[in-house]
Amino acid sequence: MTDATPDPYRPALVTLSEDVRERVRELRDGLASEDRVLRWVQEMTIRTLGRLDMRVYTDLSRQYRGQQGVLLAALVVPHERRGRNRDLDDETAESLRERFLSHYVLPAHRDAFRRLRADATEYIDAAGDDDSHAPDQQRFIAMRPALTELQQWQERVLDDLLAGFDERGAILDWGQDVLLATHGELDKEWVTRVHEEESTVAVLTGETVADKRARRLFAAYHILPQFRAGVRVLSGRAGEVPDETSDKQEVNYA
Amino acid sequence: MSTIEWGDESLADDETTREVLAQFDDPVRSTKQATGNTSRWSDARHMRERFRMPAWDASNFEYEGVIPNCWEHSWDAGGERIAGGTDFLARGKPGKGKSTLANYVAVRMLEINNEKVVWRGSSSRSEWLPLAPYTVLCLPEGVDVTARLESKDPTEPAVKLSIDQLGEIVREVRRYADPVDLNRRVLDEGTFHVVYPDPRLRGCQEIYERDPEKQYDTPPERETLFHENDPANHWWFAWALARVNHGPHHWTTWICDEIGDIAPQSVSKDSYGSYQKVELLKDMWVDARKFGLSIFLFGHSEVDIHRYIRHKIRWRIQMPGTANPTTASDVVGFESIRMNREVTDEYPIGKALMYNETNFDPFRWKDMPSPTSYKLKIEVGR
Repeated sequence: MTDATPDPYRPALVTLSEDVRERVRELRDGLASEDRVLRWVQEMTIRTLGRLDMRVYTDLSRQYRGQQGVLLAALVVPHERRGRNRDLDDETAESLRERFLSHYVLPAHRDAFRRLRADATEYIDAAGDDDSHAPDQQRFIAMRPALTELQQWQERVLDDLLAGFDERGAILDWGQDVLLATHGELDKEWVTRVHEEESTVAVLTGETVADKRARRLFAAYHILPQFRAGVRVLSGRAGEVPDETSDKQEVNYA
Repeated sequence: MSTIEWGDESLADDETTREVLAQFDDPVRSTKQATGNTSRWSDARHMRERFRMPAWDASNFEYEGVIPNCWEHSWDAGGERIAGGTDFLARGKPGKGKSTLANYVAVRMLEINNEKVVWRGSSSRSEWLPLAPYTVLCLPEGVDVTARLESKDPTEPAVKLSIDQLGEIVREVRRYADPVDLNRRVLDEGTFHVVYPDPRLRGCQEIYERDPEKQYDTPPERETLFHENDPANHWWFAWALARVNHGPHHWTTWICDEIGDIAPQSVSKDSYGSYQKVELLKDMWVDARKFGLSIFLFGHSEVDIHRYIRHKIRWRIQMPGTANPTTASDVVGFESIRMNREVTDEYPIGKALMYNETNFDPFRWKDMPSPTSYKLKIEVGR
């Protein structure tokens, strides 16, 4: 029995770790394109249960503004580097990537691991006897589909956005996907605004290189942070999502 | 005569009665209020120790105008504060901590303002039991009172109590003749009272007639607005009027759980004059403030309560589990509201949002568990 108890929750933790490890390896060699960076961050957002520091998202969106930023240049493979970063020193790029991993990705992975660990342990305690194996398996499955589903919605939203839309009306359909992909963590009029604002529509339906770049900025600035918020809510940490207005500290007794 | 063979109800035997009574904490009779010795701890202090409540500290709050303004009473307030009595309506679904909050606020009123706290007793509920060891139970004189303890498990036999046995649960049982007698002779400052209304409404009509400014339609086929056949709840309207008109004007807090029971939205001009009495309460609201009567109401939802009353209430507390309003049109009597997000639906129990027209402030309160799961039912015969 002592051998059996840890088993049920180990698969969940191991899968999570393997997923992260795979992507860490990929990043260390450099990512294939600017688009891939966005997708990579999206995948990592899910796999860290939204624990990546908010600075990752703010820094990243700055990288897509105007000229390619130096961090973005370092994250991609050499032939994807542009502008003044075309000749970025490989060693510098490598050390930037490693710093990015060690400062942001690994701590987030740790947080997510601990989050999942706590869940699994709690469940075993509740079950109590030999039967713990069975319900725990269910717990593992029950958690997985929700995250996998969110992953699929996010992938689809990001793919559609980066590809651009044929016409304005398509944005409305896409807006419904965004709702699912962010688990509802959207402002009430978010889709309305995207659909109404001429400049935004021009960018989302445009076909020029500049439009494509603007769509990446849009994704980094408007979409990824919402993905993060959605995962955090879904993974049951809604209470921890800091409200813009409220302090992290609990309020006082009246 | 009843046509149904009711039979005898099964009641708990003496041993069970002793066991159930033993579950209650012993009444506290050693405090300043109970002994008259001013060097003793006050009731409020004793309560705070029992429930581990931190001392009141107005500087905990971001906006002075919201919670401190409502709970710290003063005759000559300045700045953002208003003078006199205050009011609030706490609304939330059952099980979201309304009654615990009512107990908590009662302690704060004793602590901050040395108030006479009057909890509206009702035969069907006894949510004040956490404070039972300090309670002065006020019952009408000359009527039969039955008291029984009922288990949460309804198949358990009930425990019938004599008035003497009530003394093992509460500090003291006092009797009053009429609302004026209650206010002048029975209620003490800095003390928690649970008052059960007089079902015969003795003195109520006289109190009403003494106020020349309050004139309402007499219900059809009757000569008086208050009548002994009225629902016992109507006693409260006369009590509030007596308190405002005839004092004494010490700080007094009326804690009124389930306000929807006495001033429902659906009130009509029935043969008891229910509608007229809600009007009466509305018309004396301003005077209540001037004479230091604070009215703290608790209810399930805004719409259970008559709009006349809602118009008068200047503070609201949104309990967890239901979203706070984000537009003023959701709150009768408010012209503006500062919240633009729904937050309270995700609050845990023990945390709520208090707001008025100018600001809002979240706050928490301590759990104040009852020592037993038994409910105390006190029924006053006619």
